[in-house]
Amino acid sequence: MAPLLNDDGTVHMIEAALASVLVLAVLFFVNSTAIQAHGERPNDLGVLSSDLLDVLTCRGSSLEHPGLGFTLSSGEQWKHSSAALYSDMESMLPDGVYCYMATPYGTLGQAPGEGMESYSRPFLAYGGQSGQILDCKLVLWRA
Amino acid sequence: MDEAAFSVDFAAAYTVMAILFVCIFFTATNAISTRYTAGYADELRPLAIQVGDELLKTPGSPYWYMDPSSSKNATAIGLTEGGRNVLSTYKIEGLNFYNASGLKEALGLSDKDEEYGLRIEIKSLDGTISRTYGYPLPPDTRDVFKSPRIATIKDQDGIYRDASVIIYLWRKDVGAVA
Repeated sequence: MAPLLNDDGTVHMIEAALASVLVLAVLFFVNSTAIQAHGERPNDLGVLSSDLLDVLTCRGSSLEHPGLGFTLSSGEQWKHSSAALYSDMESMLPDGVYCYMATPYGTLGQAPGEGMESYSRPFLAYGGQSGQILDCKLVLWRA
Repeated sequence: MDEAAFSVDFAAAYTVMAILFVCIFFTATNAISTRYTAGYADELRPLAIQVGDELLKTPGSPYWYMDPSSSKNATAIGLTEGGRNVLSTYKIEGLNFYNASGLKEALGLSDKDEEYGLRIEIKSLDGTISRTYGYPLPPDTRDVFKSPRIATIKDQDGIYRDASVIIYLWRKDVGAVA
């Protein structure tokens, strides 16, 4: 009985293996270029930031869940309430979305790094006791 | 040269090749259809955002949520109790006056061919309120655009409950099978 693999057969098997590597490379390329079926695209961050700001502005304020206006009413109030405000913001955002807020009294959260998907929404707030208009910014981003 | 060995090796090698080509064909066609389907779903983004804005940013026409006859005469339905993104529990319950088709029509998505599918999920983060309206999600298509929104629900005791509102929008008979 003739051996299944001789010198000529080995050559064919090597050719097939190389072709398989090429095919797998194309397969990998096609898979890597496919985009996701369910889209939550970066500009959805703009809609979410609008919603988040409206909720923080319009909802009532309590000690456990302070409103944005209450928290920004003074520097002292910011120190007391900003941690609870940030906790509420984090809990309201969908998974994988993070927030950062910059105010004259300080910042909340971590700023997005270079190249990350983000949406920055500037807004003005009334400084309460100081009577000043505060220039603030809310940034939503994805890791 | 051993002709028998050559034939066996040739057949074995090209059988492996044929299997791989079949795999790549199905994977490639699936990837392409997924890409097109994502494109179809993405086209629904403005419509989904519009529906979400109407629900979360407006109070709707007066008293549409009071009884079924009022809901039939609604010119616009909105869920806010006044402030933007602050939802009224009465109005959330008022959505029960609509069936799936009626809800779609009330939100301006009426179509003769019943082309669009709509589903709205409202859930408070503390788990006390959970409501779903509209059609069930189609199990066999990926052509669904999901629009997550943020709101707060003011209940009858004046307590605010932060909530998530998810709007699903799709077109029937369009898109790849999952």
